[in-house]
Amino acid sequence: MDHDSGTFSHVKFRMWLRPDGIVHLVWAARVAIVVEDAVAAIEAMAQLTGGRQSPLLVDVHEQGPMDRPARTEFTRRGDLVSAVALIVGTPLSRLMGNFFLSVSKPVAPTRLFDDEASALAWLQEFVG
Amino acid sequence: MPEPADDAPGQGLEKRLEDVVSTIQEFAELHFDARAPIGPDGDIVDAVAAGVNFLGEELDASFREIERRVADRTAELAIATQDLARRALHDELTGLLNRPALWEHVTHRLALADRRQAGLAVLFLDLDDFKLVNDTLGHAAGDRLLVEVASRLADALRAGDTIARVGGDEFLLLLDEVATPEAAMVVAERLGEALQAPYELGGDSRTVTASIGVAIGPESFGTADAIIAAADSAMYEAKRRGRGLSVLYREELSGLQP
Repeated sequence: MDHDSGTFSHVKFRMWLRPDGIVHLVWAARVAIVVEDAVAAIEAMAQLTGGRQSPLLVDVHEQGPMDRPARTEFTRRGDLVSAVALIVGTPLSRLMGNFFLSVSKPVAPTRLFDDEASALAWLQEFVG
Repeated sequence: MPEPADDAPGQGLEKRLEDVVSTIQEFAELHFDARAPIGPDGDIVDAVAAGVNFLGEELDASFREIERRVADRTAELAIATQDLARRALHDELTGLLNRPALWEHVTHRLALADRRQAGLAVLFLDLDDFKLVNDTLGHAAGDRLLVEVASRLADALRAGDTIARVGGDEFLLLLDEVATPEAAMVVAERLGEALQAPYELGGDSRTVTASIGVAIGPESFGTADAIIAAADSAMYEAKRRGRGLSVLYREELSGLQP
């Protein structure tokens, strides 16, 4: 983690804690996400928040496919998030978001958004 | 009409859709690990391919879960069947063989008579005054006594011999190989002696004796019923004579009952 900027950089994602208490995660464009990447993202979030439940904004609009073990890992560690907003863009990212909602059944409130402003407005309700 | 170029957009789309269809066909053949390629664009075809892949992953996971559950249930069933088979052939209290199992052993041994030089013997053993133990010390003490008796008898037997509990305080023993009636009587005496050491039953020390009837085969006895009935008659003769005695079956004891 870059302590000056407070940003966690990984080969497949960047993550940082915003001043309003929302964690922002941006996946790299067009790369496949596997369980090791999910574990890395979850560890990064725990490090940024000190393990406290926080709202999470995830930019997936250019994201590549995510496999089942990765989705399962995100669902399993739902204890770290108070809510998740997924910003979708391409048909692929929208389908993956819907699939995550309907099949993986995350415990924390999770919604899809087309734009960042609406997502942030909704997540404010879940800032602890 | 000229053939379309390989990189024509329509053909590229057709190829991508064919890949998706091929993956669906693989699923139809239960190959749930098949995956459709997903391009970099994230367009609607990539979304369809990803959706198909998601279904494949879920089908694969469900299939594996079902296989795991079937394997678990099969293992449980095997254990239950094994337990059932054991219960069908064993006495619950002592763990010895039960009546049907002993009958089977004797029948089998008689069937081998032509091929075995040595004879066999069946010993019918009944504890003396077992009812007194039950009545004075209770059924739990009676059960402990039976377990201890079973253990002593089993320890005193030779390899190849068989023991079963066939009733409340009744035990049947098959001696697989006896050279003479006298040799069978020696074994009977040894078993009787093994039972005579005191038993600690609920703070009470008791001594127990047994009456033993001995029948030698295979001569005169073609069936398990016949040789066991003979041993039973000899045992009643032993009871009639006193306590802690062994009697060898003779023709004149035939049909003797209490």
